[in-house]
Amino acid sequence: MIPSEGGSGQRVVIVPDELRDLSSHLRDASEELSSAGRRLVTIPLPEMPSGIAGLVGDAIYRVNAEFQELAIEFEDEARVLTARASWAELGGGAGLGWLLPGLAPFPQVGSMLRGPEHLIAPTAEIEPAEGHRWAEELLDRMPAPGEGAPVEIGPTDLGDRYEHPLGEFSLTGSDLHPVGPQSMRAEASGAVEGALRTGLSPDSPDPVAAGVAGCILVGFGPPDEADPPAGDG
Amino acid sequence: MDDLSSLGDPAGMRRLAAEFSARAEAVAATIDSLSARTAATTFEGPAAAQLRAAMRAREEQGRQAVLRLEAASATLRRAAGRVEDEIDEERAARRRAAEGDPGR
Repeated sequence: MIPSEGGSGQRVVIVPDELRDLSSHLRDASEELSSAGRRLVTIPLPEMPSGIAGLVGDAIYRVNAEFQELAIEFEDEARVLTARASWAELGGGAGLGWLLPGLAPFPQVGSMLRGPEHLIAPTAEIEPAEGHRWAEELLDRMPAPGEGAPVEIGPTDLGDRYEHPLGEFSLTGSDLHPVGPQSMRAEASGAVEGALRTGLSPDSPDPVAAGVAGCILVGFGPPDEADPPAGDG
Repeated sequence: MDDLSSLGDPAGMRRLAAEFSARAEAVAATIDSLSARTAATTFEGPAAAQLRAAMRAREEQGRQAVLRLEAASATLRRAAGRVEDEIDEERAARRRAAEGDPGR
């Protein structure tokens, strides 16, 4: 469990296993709805008055469309919850004083993650804001700890298909404001930028990637959800 | 089977209505279960509030779809009854015609 009265002043509690359990139920519900909708549109219709046939056909069409739409939304939500559970574990580790794997080459980042309780509050804010497709992709492709295929998100992916993370997610100044002094922010920003340029992969021989990914998404959250800089302007 | 089947197939309509009801009931149960599971999940914070609001909206959407399906089922049952009445009336009329009674 990860309780916090962190930087946003709002209590955040996440139990990763419970999120995964809910995610599993969402997937089941998605399948149930999708299956029910498919069944409706394939039922042979008996002979009936044309007016009734029209009403029934319209109902089938609309109900199936609603079931399929919900099925997609449940599946999407399940995916987000699974990712959120994984990131919460990373964030919780950070907040509890554990060193994230792979941060040893960047002790300045590690020290940021060990202490401040601010870091936990944004854990629940990891869903990327609209326009931050790269972060969404990262969530998609980041498997739960200990499972799944390597995640490879390198500069080519990001440059070709998504906004460059450092363009959309500038890890300097106000973004790092809640978690350290100015000098530390500058160092961390350099570390993050370096890791992003070499790719992010939890199974990478260079394990910095996973830790930095956690640092970005768990520790800081999307920029539009970060605490506003004190005394800005 | 006589040519009155063109008026409709009441038994088939009732089977379809039953199928609609069964699907509606199953989906309603799924939504209820999901709602309970969501409520019981330990999850607090801005994202949790967002999730719960989204889930409430989806549950409502699902329940509306279920109601639509149940309404279609009820329509089919009522229509099946009317078709049966029409078939009975038509058969009676034909019997009367065959017996030389023009009826009322």
